[in-house]
Amino acid sequence: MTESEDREHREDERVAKLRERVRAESAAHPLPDDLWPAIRERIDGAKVVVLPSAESAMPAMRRAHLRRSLAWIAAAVAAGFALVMFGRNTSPRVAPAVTAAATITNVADSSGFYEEQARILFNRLALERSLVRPEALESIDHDLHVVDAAIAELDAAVARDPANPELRRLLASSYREKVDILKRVANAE
Amino acid sequence: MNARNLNRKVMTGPSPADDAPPIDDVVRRAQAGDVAAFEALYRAHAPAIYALCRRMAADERDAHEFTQDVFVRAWERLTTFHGQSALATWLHRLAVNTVLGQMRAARREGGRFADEDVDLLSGAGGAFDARADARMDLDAALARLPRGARVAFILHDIEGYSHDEVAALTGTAPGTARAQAWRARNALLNLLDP
Repeated sequence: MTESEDREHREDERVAKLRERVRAESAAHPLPDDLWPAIRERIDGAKVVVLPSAESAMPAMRRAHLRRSLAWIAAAVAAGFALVMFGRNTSPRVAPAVTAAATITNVADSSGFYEEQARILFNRLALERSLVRPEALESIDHDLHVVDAAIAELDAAVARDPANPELRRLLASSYREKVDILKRVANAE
Repeated sequence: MNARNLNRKVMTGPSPADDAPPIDDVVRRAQAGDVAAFEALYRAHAPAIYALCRRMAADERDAHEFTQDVFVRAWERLTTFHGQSALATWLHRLAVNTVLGQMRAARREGGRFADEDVDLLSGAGGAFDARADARMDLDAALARLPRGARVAFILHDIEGYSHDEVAALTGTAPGTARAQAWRARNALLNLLDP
């Protein structure tokens, strides 16, 4: 065994001992007080009721807003395609090159930001799936599928016409809507 | 995340429920609103949940509050438990999310933990180096870790979550979660075994 391997081996042993010590010592702490009376008081109070399911925990207003968001995205995709089609048949708009480039950069940054946010929220939802009723999960998955399909179509439109700032704006808005949907799902849990 | 990993995670601490009789009926009664049944669930699982809260919070009073919050939330959401995993697994996950949610809320109110993380783990001359010559007990050492680093270490090294899972749970990038766990581990080794 070389010196560096030996050092690495000793370091691994130290880390393993540390983990064991943390597990053993923190598990050895008994509950010092009986917390049940306080918990009982809180669940007996009128403030806390048993919710029948995650789906019904989502207020009607939120569900309505979710549906409106999906409708908005569908409209955005349609508008995107209209832009692409009109863009092919009309003369290009004249705009200062610097301003257009800056707009595209800003909107692209915005898409990236919301895409990252959506990824984080989606991962969180993936971790919490077992806490959500299967029927509610099915509905959420369906809604996300619709949003993702819209984003994919707008992505393809942007790839065909990368200099079109309107398309990029629509794409960024779609990602933002996806983030909003995932946030509402997370808040409803 | 698969069930095997989750079950492994909840088995890192003692599980008093392991010796208890099957609790399906107790769970069903608690789901129907039977508070006495829910108390039985509390008695079976509270020690493991408290240990987890204490590890994550490194503060006894916070651990008390978090444990209460977990069980109040469990009562609210018990009907969403359908038995796809063990109740201990479900409670464990609920506890992690509850504690992280409370920590996020505290951070929003205090608005300074990000800076604290940088200051306390900033290497040479930092608070850890100054005390590296003194052996500390585990509680004190864990309490000295910045919250983000402690949570990353506990979730990854002790509870068995991957760095990607820790990142998703804490809302950080995977690289940040990995770095925080690594730095917390080194800081603990310096403090406990200099």
